[in-house]
Order: sequence, then C-alpha cells, then structure tokens
Amino acid sequence: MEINAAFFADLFLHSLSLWWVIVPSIFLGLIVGAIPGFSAANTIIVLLPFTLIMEVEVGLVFMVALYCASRMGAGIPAILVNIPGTAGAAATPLDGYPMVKKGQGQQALAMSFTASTLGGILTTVIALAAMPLLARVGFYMHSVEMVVVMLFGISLIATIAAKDTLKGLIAGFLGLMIGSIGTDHVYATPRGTMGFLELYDGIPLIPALVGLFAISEAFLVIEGESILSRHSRERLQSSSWAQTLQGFAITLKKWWHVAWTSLIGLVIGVTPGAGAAIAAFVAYQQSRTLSKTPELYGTGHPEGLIAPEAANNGVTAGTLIPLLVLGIPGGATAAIMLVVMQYQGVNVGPRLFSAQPELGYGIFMAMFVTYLLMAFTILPMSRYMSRVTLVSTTYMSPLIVGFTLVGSFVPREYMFDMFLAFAFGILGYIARKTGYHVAAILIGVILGPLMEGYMLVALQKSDGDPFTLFSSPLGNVLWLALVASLLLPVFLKHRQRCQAAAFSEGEG
Amino acid sequence: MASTRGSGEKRQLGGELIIPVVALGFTLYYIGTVLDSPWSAKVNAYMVGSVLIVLVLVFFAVAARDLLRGRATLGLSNLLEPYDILPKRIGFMLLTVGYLVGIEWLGFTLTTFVFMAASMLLLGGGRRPLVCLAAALVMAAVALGVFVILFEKRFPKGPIEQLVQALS
Repeated sequence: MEINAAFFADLFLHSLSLWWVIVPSIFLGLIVGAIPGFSAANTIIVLLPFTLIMEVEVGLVFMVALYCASRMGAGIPAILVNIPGTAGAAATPLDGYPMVKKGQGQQALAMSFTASTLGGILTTVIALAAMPLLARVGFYMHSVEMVVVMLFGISLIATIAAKDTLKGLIAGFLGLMIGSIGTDHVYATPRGTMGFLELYDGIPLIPALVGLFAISEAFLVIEGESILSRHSRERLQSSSWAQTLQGFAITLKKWWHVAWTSLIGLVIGVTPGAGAAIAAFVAYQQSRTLSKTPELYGTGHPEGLIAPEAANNGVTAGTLIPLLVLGIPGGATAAIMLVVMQYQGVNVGPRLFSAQPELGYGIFMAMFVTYLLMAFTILPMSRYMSRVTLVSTTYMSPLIVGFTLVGSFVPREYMFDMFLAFAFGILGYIARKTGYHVAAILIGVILGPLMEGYMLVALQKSDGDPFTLFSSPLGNVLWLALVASLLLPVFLKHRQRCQAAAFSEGEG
Repeated sequence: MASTRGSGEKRQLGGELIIPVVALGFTLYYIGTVLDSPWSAKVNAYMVGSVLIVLVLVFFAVAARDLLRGRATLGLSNLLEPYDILPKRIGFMLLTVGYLVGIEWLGFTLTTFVFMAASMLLLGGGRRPLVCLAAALVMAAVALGVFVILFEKRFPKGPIEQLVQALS
C-alpha cells in the first residue's frame, strides 16, 4: 500500500466515521481523568472485556480517545480546586489555581483545553511524520542519560521554589528521601518503611499526590467562606462567553510556546518510563527559564499554565511511538494496549507499518481526530465547569477530603493508603503554612525511585565507578544543558538587576 | 503559599523548623535502616541523605543567626493563624481521623455520610442543617454507587453495603 496524501485523507475520514466511539470515550476519559486514583489505565483494565470483543480498530480507537481525554480531564480539578487528577497534571495548578483565585477560572480552563488540544494535534502530526526517527530516541536513552534527565527534574526544585531556594531544596530532597522508602532494587532490603508492609513497594503516588495537594488545600481554604475573594467571585459570576474566547485567543497568540513545550512532552514521552509528570515539570521550568517575566510564574501566569498542559498532552503521542515502532510500551496505558493488540493477533514493531499501515498510522490518526473533536465538545464546557469554585468551603472542604481519601484507597485497596494520604495532607499543610513548596516535595517523591533505579544500573554496569555518569557523549551534552538551565536564571536575574540599576541611575 | 514574614514583623521560626527537623529525623532513621545492608541499598541513603543533612544544617545555622540577632522568634503563629478558625480546623482534622478509624467499624457508606454531615455542620457553624444532611446523603449515595456497586472496590463493609449485597 502506498503511503501518500490520499492514504492519510482516507485514514482521516475513516477515523472521523468512528465518532460514535470517540465522543463517548472523550466524556468517559474526562471523568476518569478528573477523579484522583482513576487513571486511563485503570479504566481500560476495568473495561478490558468490552475492548477485547470489539473489532481491533474500534477497540484501539476507544483506548486512544480515552487516554487523550483523561490527560485533559486531569487538568480540570488541578485548575479548579488544586487537585491534580494524575501525576501528569501536578504542575498544572502552579499557575492554574492562582488564576482561579483571581476569578479567571473560566479563562484558565479554556487555556488548558486549547493548549492541550493544540499540543496534542501538533505532536500527533509530528509523530505521524517522524515516527521512525523519533523511535530511535528510546534507543539512545540509557541509564546514564536517564539519571541526568531525572536530575533535570530535580533541578526544578531549586528554580520553582525561587522565593527561598534553601527551603525549596530541603523540600525537594525530603521528597527524594520519602520516594526512596521501600525495598532496594537488587536485594529487596526494606529501607525506611517503619515496619509497614504496605510500604515495601515504595510510596504509592496517589496518596502522596492527593495528600500534598488536595487535603492540605482543604485544611487551608476553610479560612474563607469561598476559595475566591469577593472581587473574584463577582468577576466569575458576571463572566460571559468572552472569557472562554479570551482564554482561547491568549493560547492561540502563544502558539509558539505551545509548540515547543509540547515537543518537550513528545520527546520525553518517547523515552520509556519518563512519563507525563516529568515532561510537565521540565516544560514548566524551561518555560520559566526562558521567559522575560519569570517572576510572574506561580501567580497565575498564562504561560505557566500552557507549558505543562501542552507538554503532558505531547507525552500522549510520544508514549505510543516506542510501543508501535519497537514493541516497547512507554507507560501503563501503552502496556495495556499492547496486551489488547497481542490478543487480537496484531504484531507491533517495525513490520506493523509495512504489513498493516492502516492500523499503525490509523492509531495516530484516531488521536488526531480525538483532539479535533475534543476542541468542539470540551471547550464550550469551561464556562460551566468554572462555577464549581463558587461552592462554599463549608461544603467544598469535606467533599475534597472525603473524595480524595476514597481516591487514595482505589488503586491498591489498602486502608493504609487512606491514612498515608492524611499524613501527607498534614505534611502539605505545614509546608504551605511555613513557606515550603509542596510541588518540590512531590517532584522528589516521583523522581526518587526512578533515579535510584537508573543510578544503580549505571553503577552496576561500571563496577561501581561513579565517573560512569560522565562517560557518555549524549549524557555529557545533557549535563551541560542541566548546568546551563541552573545558571541561566541566576544570570538573567543578575542582568535584570543590573539593567534596573542602570535605568534608575539614568532616571536620577 | 502562606507568607512567612509580614513587613516589620519578626520571622516566626517555630513553624518553619518543623519540616527541617522532620527531614533530619527521617534521614537519620533511614540511614539507620540501611547500615547493615548491601551497597545497592545504601546508594540513595548516602547520596541524597548526605545532601539533605547539609541543607538542613545550613538552614539551622541561618535560623540560629536570625535568632541571635533578634530578627526572628521561635513563635508558631504563621502555622496557627488565623486563630479564630483554629478550633474549626482542629475539629475538622479530628473528624478526618475519626472517619479513617470509623470506616472499619461502620463501613464505607455510613461513615462517609456521618463524616460529610458532621464536617459540613462544623464548618458551617450549624447553619442550614438540612442542606448539610442532604448534601452528605447525596455524596454518600454517589460514592456507594460509583465505588462499591459500579467499580466493586473492596471498601470496609457496614450495614449499608451488607444490605446492598443482600438485595443484589
């Protein structure tokens, strides 16, 4: 079969004809993405019997649409009530929630949806065009390179918490230590588990996530009648469709920002195991580093919301590339897709694109169509969703605590996880009240076990030689980029200070 | 994020010291658990732990300097303020602990209802009791429907879950 424009046009129309699968999957994905503890992977597992009896292409379209929509859905509670639905949305509230507090919830949702959609469409098109080339990225990322990529994530700790770098570093390294709880990777020796068997597998991410962000927030917001100030409430109550259009227009105007941050997501998504959380934080940090107004980040700055949302949707396309081209699933959802494809007798790998091109390329086309349909179905909803923030904290706080505690039970079904979420909630509350960044703790918890795993592999390969971390050319380039990303904000800040001093002298 | 120092006010270090003290205590405990372990179990403890200990000691040094110069106190007000909300906040936290403990005895749905209703009544100062009860009832019913009946999650069972099981 010839792969040309007519082939892609046919594929597009065929994917569009499957709207009856895509649209319900979008709504289902939005719901499961918004519920902490319910990931797309969980839902696909629950609905696996249905997927297996569907035709293979319908089943795959269903899974892809659910996956894309859940990524977007996770951003909704992250923006509105500071509860990231999944770890991939953990960077979203950094600027999304402050926008809500200013009464710009509707605009923030519109921006999030637009950035997600544009980022998703762009990365899907790039994935379609450059699939064989991108697949090679996974080949070049070995343990040494991955350690440096992880350190990139950790360097965010210092820069995100720029108000007090020392506190940011303490919070981040505390997170890394907490993330190291559990048995070691080689001999399964328990470490720091305090005798709890439930911690032998490490710290479960959902209780940490909901505790640090949601439960601590619920204990905080009871200080006011509403999470919004009176001015913000009046602003939201009098809002019109114009706010949605404004959010849409602001994001379109920043198309270049959407483009390069979603590309970060695509490249990180191609790397097996890296995931949306790292992509979102790396994109946020790079966006802030290169911004002319880095001081506005964390205060409800549009670019601070656009960057993580575009990046985590870029990961969606990236994750499927190693699955389809190499047969290596890049994440949990991709692994389940692999199971379904194997069950249906589809051989993934390089031959998929020559033997069954309509299926290989069709998956990405379905993703493209899903994002297109999401733009029309989800964007108009932002006006009504933002009204959630008008609910009084009298009802909102118990709802958040109850809902997230239940969510923390769901993945493993351990009562212990509910207690753990509460403990993280208290830690998060103390951190927020005393000026430590909860996001820094969370980054540490996420990256701790991953970095340790890659570090051990690197050291084992080199008989314990720590200089192995500087032995790879690509790794060294990444080291240089890491140092540059740490020094650049300091340099830019210094330059801004010098310019301000020169300006004030000139004025004088 | 809460501000830790208002203009013209002394820095309240009591609250700020909690996280570093917890970090130091946990790191020492963690290192203690890997002392006799193989090297693969120790890599992270020594690499990350040593950096964290240094950071905490720097923080202590800065804090001690501020205390000695009279720029800070060991007060806890940044953690506890606003004081008029404090009883409600502590009550809400205690109710949450009660929810976690009670769920084993009363089951998921009933405890969720009691927790929601009690928390709403506490935070609302007893105002609009019927609205609070109705909201709690709806939430508990939705939780039962979604998590227990639809997704069959194995929450602790109480009278409501047993009734549902008997009826199905």
